[in-house]
Amino acid sequence: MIRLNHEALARENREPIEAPRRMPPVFAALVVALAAWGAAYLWRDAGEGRFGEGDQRTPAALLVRPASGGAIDGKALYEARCAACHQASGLGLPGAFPPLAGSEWVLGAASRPASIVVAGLGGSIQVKGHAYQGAMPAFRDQLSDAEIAAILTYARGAWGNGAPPVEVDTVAAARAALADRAGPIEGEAELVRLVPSP
Amino acid sequence: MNDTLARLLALCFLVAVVGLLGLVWAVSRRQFTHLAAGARVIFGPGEEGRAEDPVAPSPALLQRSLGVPPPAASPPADVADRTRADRSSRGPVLWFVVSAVVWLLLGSLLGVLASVKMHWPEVLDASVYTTFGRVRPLHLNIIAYGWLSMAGVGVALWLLPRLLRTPLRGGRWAVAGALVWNVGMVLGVAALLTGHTEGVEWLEFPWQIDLFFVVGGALAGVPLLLTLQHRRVEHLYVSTWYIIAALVWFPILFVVANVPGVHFGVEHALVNWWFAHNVLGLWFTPMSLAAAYYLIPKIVGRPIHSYQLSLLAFWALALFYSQVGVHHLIGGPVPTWVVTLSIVTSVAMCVPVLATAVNLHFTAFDRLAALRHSPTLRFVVLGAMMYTVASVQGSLHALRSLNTLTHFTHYTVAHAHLGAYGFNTFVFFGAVYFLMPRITGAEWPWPRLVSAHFALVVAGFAVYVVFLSIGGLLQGAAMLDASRPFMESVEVTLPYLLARSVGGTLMTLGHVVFAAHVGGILWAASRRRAAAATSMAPAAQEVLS
Amino acid sequence: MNAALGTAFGAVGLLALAGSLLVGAPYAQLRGEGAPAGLRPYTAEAARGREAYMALGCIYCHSQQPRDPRQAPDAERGWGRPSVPADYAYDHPHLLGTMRTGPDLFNIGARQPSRDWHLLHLYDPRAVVPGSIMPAHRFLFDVGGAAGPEDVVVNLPGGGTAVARPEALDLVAYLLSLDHTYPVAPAEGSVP
Repeated sequence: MIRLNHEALARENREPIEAPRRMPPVFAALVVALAAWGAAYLWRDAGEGRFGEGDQRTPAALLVRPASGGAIDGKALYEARCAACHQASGLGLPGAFPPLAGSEWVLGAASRPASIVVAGLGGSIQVKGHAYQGAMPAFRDQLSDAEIAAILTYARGAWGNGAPPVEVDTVAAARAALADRAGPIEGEAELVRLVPSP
Repeated sequence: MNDTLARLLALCFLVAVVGLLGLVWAVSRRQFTHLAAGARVIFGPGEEGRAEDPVAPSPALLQRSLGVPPPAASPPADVADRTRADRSSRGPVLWFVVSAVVWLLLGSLLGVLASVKMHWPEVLDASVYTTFGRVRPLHLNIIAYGWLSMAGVGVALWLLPRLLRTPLRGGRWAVAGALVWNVGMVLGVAALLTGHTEGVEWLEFPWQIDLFFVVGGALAGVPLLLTLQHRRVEHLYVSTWYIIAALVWFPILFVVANVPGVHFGVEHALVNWWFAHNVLGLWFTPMSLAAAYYLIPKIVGRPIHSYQLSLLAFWALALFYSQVGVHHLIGGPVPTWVVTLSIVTSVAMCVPVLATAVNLHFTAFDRLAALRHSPTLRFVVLGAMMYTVASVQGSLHALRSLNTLTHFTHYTVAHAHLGAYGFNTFVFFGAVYFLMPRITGAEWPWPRLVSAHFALVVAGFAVYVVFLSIGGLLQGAAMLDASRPFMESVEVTLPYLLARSVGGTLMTLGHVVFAAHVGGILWAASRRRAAAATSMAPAAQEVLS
Repeated sequence: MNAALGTAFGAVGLLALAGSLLVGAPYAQLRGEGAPAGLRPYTAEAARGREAYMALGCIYCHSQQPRDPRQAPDAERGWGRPSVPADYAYDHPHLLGTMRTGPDLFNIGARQPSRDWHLLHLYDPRAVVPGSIMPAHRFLFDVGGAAGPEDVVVNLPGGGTAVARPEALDLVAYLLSLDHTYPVAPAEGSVP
């Protein structure tokens, strides 16, 4: 048995209606103004020579990779490319990513770190008395010789590392020596064999 | 070639807008004479200005607040009509509204969890089922399809028989629809929980589960169509237009956006955002506007301010709102002309929004004292104000210059809540407070809980929107400055994300109060029914025919 | 208005107009677009990883759509050149995203090519990015058991190891495949 709330129903107002009042003239003006603005905006902006590539695309930005500009900043490149693992402090993450600060590999012959950055490194490596297992990716396709040299120069000079700068030629030589190689250098053992200390 | 197309688009836009004005003028000219006569009949001298709200702690105070003498009773024919209407819609409305309230509770709890995880990521992070990427879409889908959609349909099922002065036909179809819809929701929740998602925002439910919503929605639509067919009024009140439009819009959108195997690459992104914004603009919004257009004049006892503005607002919404979606892809890999079109129509949304604002607020304007005594009116008027604020804000940050700053930030999330919560949810709260006493046969048992609910959700919501908007702007500013590391754009938001959790918790507490009260009125109604069945007193068996 | 049917037809008509402008016309415009020469289809592993990316809800915090330099400095952040529709030729569904609670990932494979880093970052984001609010994904790893010879072992900072489950390896394969650094030619007629 359905019982409704008769009192509530009875005390309600009538069903609503609309008053036959015209809209304020300002509304007609608003509509006309917006119509004019919208049409003008579309007329000017909807085509404008950038049709299918996306919203507001600059053709030049599509053609080239984002360039770093004039001088190569080794510190900026390090922070963009390397610091995620090796940390801005160069201390790495103990147990996961080896340190570069005070690392015998960074401070030693420049051709070794250059080879690691070019080709990547897998397997096991002993750094400052601790063994690290891991896979560092190759950067040969992503960084130029000059960029790799700048990064290494920064890493060899920062955090109390006192090693001399790395020449672009050293990186170019490492790249040439490893040109045929597909995979990463397999650990400390192969690194030492492939890139003998001068 | 591009320029030619752009000019064609510009001209089409101009023609469409001029056509809109012409349509409004033509339709209103035909109707004015009829309406003028009707207004004289319906509001006799001294009658305009009564106020009524079922949850007002003191109806007498509410009445006095309007400064007019107490009204005469409604004519018996009116009372009989609305009594028949409410009785016919009772079952389906209860099914939809009560389900909606349950989903609201669940959805807001998940919202709080997602919010807390943003500034405290270790919370419940051990299980894949409670990871942020699962909780966040669950929150959105439960609120969008469980709470807002079911509340909207429930309110529409209650409104339509009243608006058309005829009983709801085929209400059982709607009950079946509510059941199927709920099954879809449960399956959808299970799917998202276990990582079975379409991977597209607002369209996460797998398409197989979407079929339940298609069937459930169609079943709920049957009685609405049958009732429209049997209407006993000639002139359709403005609320009816919005319900009709929403009923045809949502199914089309839902099917087009969910149909598998058609969409590709960035075209999928266009469909995605065309759909997602239209769920708000052409589904939640028309249902909420239908409720606001009905409840405000109903409670304050005056006609809607201007018929012509109603017309302008409705058709402008239909024309502009349906085209704004691509402003979500400003700066994205989609053709400039589509983005520009969406920006223009987003700005043009000022027309229907301001027209609605004037129309609703001028109706209640010199009756604002009634707000103090009518919780329903408080919710609905505040909701209508948030519609204005959210939409004007939306028009502004659709402009490229501002969008660059706000895009991809928490500001957008705050904006979405301004619409879906401040507007839609508040209006539905008001509607539930008004309709439940009518259809259950009981009064709200604890009027103080209504005030507690209002205070909690308004305070919580204010904290939510203000802080998250500020946090989002700071985040955007940090991100646009390439000299600041990305992590700064994260760190700068943390205090604001924490404040959002506080606001969200208050809102959720308000929902607990609300749900408890809905439970309370159902319990009171069942007590009344039991008493009526045992007493056998003729008064209790009163038949309203 | 008196006409219920008229209102319904008007409403459908305007929605149809909107749909044909916002969806229909771009559908026709973009349909013929092929993949750029530099773009590779996803490998089976990366495709599975893409499913994991969806199932874990990565899109709720990460976008995949760098903007043009004149709108935002996305390129300066290392997120790559502005993307074009052809870049998404193999993307079903699209994963453009709308939030940058975390960085854009359209070129994460080029920006961060280390699998070890990705695995550790998934396992414990705050170990490698202090202050990160990304959820840890430890449920994608086995901890404590003995690692087999084929297993991929993640060395945890401070000692200990975790073994990546296939889902984690797939996800990282997908992330590493996100490399759109090849140049694209602007469409004909677009250069002023």
